[in-house]
Amino acid sequence: MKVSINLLPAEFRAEELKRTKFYKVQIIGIAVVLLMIFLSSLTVSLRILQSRSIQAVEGRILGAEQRVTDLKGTQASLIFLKNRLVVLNQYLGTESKTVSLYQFLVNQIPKSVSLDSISVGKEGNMLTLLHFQDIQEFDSLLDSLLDPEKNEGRIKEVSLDSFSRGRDGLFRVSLKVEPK
Amino acid sequence: MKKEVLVKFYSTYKLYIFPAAVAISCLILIIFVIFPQLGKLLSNNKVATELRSKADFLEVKAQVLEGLDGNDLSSKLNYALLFFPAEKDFTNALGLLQNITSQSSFSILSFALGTQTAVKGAQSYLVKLEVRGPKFLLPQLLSSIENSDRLMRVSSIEVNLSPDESVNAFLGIDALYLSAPASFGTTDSPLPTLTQADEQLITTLVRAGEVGQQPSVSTPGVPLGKSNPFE
Repeated sequence: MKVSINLLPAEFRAEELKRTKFYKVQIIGIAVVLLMIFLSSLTVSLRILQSRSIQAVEGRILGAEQRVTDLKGTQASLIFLKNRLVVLNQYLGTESKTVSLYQFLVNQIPKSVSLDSISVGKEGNMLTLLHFQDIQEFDSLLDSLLDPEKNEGRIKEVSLDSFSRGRDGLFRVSLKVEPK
Repeated sequence: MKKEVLVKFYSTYKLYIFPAAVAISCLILIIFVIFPQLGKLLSNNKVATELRSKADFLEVKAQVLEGLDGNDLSSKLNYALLFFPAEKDFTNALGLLQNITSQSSFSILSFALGTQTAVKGAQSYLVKLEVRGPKFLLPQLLSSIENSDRLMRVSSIEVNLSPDESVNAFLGIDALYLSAPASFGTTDSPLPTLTQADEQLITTLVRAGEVGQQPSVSTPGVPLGKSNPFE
């Protein structure tokens, strides 16, 4: 059994307790101040490092900008060339609607049907004058013009503007073809 | 006397004075050092990231430009400009149309230059041609115009057939051109990339341009007529 006997007078004991408490407060206070000083120096040094890094990056930018400026002519040629190619890509290798519709219509006309005139407008509207002897051939022409498989979905409407038969036994037809 | 009073005052209230002094010094450090430095650190971090990405972009751009052959690019551009000019080239277009029509056994009866027309992605002017030739060669003529060494599109066709299998055709042809871009890019602007399709197109243009530039085979100059016209 351990027996603890404090022989100090009561006023000394209170003084001792006060001193111990202050000692603890002092240690904590100093630790906090040191921590704050450490944090301050850390942030300052980080800022200095960051500034140096930014300066280095700015140097890199200046160098790269100089290199790009020296090759301004090459850049201009590239942009100009690309500007041409974008449009050329749209047109090259493709037939205009006018020519494509003209070729289609001419190819559909049977040999026994004679073409007198044909006109194709910018929007692809076609007006054609035909003459023929056999109405069956004209029928087959209309069929091929109106069949979505044969016309590949190019034709919206075919209208007959005039239809006549002369004394010579020839049928004369004015045909209007509207594209899609 | 005063010092003793101060020492006595401190020793009495040191348990409160010391923590207060610590708190005040910490606050001073926080307010005047840590907080502003941390704020600048964070804001500059964003700036640094932007600058770094700009530097990377510019270095890549410079590297790409250094990898390009300026002379080769200029010659490709010249071929592209022959095919698709930057301004109206009436004489070139008419000369080319004359060649194409004669090669397709057609003859030009009349021609006229029309006004500016609107086409997709470019500017153009209208060339009206009246041609005469064999009926069966008209599709070839139309195809030759659209696949010529200069970008042209047939916008209207009016054909009148004669009993002798010849045709009289009125063709509306859009000769396309496109003005040079207003800006050729700044240092910061991104570079356009040439795709596989672009490279193929360039090869086609160069090939077509080289064929077009080859000297035409001409017969040697044989003197015609009398050696002395006054005889």
